[in-house]
Amino acid sequence: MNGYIGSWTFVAQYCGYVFIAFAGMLQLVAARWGFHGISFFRNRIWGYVFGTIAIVAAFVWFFTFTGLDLSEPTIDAPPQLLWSSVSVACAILFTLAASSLINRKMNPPAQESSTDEAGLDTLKQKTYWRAIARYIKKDKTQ
Amino acid sequence: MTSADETVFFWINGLVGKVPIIDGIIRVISCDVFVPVVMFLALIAIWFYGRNQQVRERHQRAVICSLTAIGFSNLIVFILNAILSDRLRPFEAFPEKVNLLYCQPTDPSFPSNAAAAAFAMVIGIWIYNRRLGYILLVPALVISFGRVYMGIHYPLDIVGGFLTAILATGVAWLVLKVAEPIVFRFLSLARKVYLS
Repeated sequence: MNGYIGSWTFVAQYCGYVFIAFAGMLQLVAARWGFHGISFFRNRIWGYVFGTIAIVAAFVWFFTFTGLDLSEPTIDAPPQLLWSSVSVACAILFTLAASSLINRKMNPPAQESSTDEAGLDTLKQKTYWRAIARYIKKDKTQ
Repeated sequence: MTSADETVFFWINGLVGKVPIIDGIIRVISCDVFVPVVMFLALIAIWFYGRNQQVRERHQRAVICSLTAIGFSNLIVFILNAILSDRLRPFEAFPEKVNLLYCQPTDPSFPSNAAAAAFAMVIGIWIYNRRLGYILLVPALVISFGRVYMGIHYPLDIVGGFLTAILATGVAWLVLKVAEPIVFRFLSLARKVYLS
């Protein structure tokens, strides 16, 4: 640990900042492209509002309220890549899990997709959990 | 060339302190914990970009190309830094004259790693979507200007970063052409688990 570089407080703050910003961005894209299955809100407008607030809040908090001193070295590139990747993965997992829970009563489409590879479009009508569960179920029966 | 480089550097760096709020803004948007996060936020937005599967897949290939180009740009910068390790940063060469707004990086000056990564990302996207490429060029230019403004790079380092990015993206594009079956498999697998 060399001065500010790699201090665990900084790493925790950095991970929080990346996590919140990416969770916000996922809500923005869910609202923009109609991926209702990964959205936290039924109304798209709230998705835009939440996403924008989350991203702005993450940046404002990190650069204003964490006591970040830019005249000191912050973090080296390799640990930055590592912690960024971990935070992004956590943001994706959190979004998929939380949206599956929030939208658990979401009505599945009357007609199931005929292809296994509907990809992201599946999340316009189903939660991630429901999509994966169906995929596993179908895989077992084959 | 070096003299012109220094002249342009001192003209840009001489603007520091004229408008303190601009100093503060540039200091934040050109720092190492702002740029990569913004870049990757843009990439995740591009991953989802498109109304249908075909358009989206094109943009997902752009993201893959961009990430590969960033990887190659880092490698090229690492090699060039080792070869041109005697080129000092402006604040090291002129400690009395430079207005330093940022912490002192310890790696060599040429080429700028931040500029190379930012331009590699932009060019990787530009190959697949010109409009998005031009939009992303704006933050890349701002970041590059900011690195000179803050006193940690010469303009020639930025130009070197830009040329590195062109080379890195070219290499990335060729590699992805050769590795097309792997890219195809990766996207197919991601599609199967509803992430592509």
